[in-house]
Amino acid sequence: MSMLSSSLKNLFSRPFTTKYPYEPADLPPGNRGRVLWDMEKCIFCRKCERNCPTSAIITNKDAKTQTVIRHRCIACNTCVEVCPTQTISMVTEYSKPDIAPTVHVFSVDLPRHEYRVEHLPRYEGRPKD
Amino acid sequence: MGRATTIPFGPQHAAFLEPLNVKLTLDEETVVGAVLNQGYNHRGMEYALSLDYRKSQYLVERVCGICSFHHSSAYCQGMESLYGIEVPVRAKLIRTIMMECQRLTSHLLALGHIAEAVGYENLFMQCFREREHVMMLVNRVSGNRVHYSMNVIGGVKRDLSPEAVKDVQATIRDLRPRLEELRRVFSRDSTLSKRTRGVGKLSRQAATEWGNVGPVSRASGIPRDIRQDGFAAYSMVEFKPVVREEGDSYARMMVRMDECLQAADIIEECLPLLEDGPVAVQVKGHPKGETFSRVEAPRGELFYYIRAKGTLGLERIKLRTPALMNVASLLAMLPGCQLADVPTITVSVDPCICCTDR
Amino acid sequence: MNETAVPDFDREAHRSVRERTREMIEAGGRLIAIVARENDDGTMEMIYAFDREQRMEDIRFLILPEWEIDSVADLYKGALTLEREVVDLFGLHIKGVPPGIFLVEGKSPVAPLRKRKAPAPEGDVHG
Repeated sequence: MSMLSSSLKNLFSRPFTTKYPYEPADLPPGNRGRVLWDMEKCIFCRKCERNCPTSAIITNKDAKTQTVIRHRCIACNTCVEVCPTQTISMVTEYSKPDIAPTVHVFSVDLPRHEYRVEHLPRYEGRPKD
Repeated sequence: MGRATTIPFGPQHAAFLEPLNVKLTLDEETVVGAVLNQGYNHRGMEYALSLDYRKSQYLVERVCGICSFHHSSAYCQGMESLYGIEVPVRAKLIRTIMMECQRLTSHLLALGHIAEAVGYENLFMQCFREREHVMMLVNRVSGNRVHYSMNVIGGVKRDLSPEAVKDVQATIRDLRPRLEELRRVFSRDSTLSKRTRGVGKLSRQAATEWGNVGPVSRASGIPRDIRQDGFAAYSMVEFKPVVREEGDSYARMMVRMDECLQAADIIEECLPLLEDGPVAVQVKGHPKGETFSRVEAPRGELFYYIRAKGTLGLERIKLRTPALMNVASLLAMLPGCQLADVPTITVSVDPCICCTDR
Repeated sequence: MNETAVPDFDREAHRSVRERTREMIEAGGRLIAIVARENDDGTMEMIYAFDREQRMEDIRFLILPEWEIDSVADLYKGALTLEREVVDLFGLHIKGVPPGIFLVEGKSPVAPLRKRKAPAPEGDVHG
């Protein structure tokens, strides 16, 4: 009987789910969404690159860029913790979806916390089998 | 006696969330024989985990999505015993709270899955709605819904702030009447009990022989719960393993339902015990030696064997996941049942193929 | 594998695995896992881990990878899965235990968890 009453209650109440792409997702503060570099502070010590569990970060000291391979990043917060100059921060929003693998390139000539989105070749350059 | 028919059940089947193939031999509608065929999800986890022990603490969470925190707790616990360090009490309590939160999400998923397998879509959605409250809670506490990335060797990374403690308390308080409501439906609903009572019997003797663990063994009357050994902070809380005697799908379902309420109890017991203090200790150097580590994951005893040789790589890491034993025992449950009951029975052992195949 | 230095170990230990397992089960033990591990000298260590009255106990012995050891699956049904896993991942021989629980013969790499002195042969090996 209780299931019938709760079914009726559900029938006349608002849906529990949200229409996500049209409405913003319910992201709590402290959600680990994606990493951002503040390139003014970066000293290119490569600590984040070495400590990244998934090898998602590529540091280029000559070009003064930090590249994060978006789909490899597991947002584990390790790079934020190891950074000696607090260059890296974690924001709550996730990165935008795309039709091909993307990388985010942080460079010193861009404004703070802004990045260039570049597309990787499909299969990351590996031959199709 | 008609001619025996063989039908494949899976690997893609509406009742399964993950690929598992059961080759059923049928006589009319009755199952007379079953052969399990697994390995569709074998990813070579044991090899990958042995490459770099520091990165493995994130990789172990990826073995399985619905018991990720238990995996990383078992791994970190093993590594801590290799280093010979004692984790701060606050970290142990936080681990216990998060493990019980994950048990809630996992059991509610399993219950919803059983409801769906017997064709009770409405109850399935109710389960998932209550589960979503816990998912949002762990998202607020840990920063992620599934892979919490909270455990590190030596403690936990994220502390529970006073607001988070209040949040956990409030959510569990709100959740309890909903869980009791669900329990009433699961225990009294006539549709459910007709589909699950007496279906897929596993006697106590068979459960012992097949080495079943977790809710499956406790539903067959084996009062064994690894949490009694007192890993993490379980020695500080009072609880009794949920045991039922029937050994059928209904008992397995109800054990999970009662464990949900028990998980809420344990979380509420842990929260007042939290005292200010450090949440992690630093570890130095590479580990060396050999250890066994066990935790009670939602599906049962999760076993880790770690042997380290004092380098970044581990000599051997072996995972024995609970689903491996429970899925194998399907061979004891299936013969004699009706074809229409096969989804219910397979789902009632909560097969996690990610865990089974690794 | 070094052929000249024959490792020194108890060569008869593996013969008593069935008796020791039976004793353990009769004393109320529950087999948790069978762990195989390769040593640097080419021997394999087998660890049968048991849970007995809330404690961990184990049966250990060393074997050479070519040897055939006895199966305990008839004493304890759940052991078959664990033994098949060892057979698959380490290429060991256990009496009456077929390979192929996780790997597909002819398509998967053979014994992927064994240490290899020489690099794996070239060719397309699909996992």
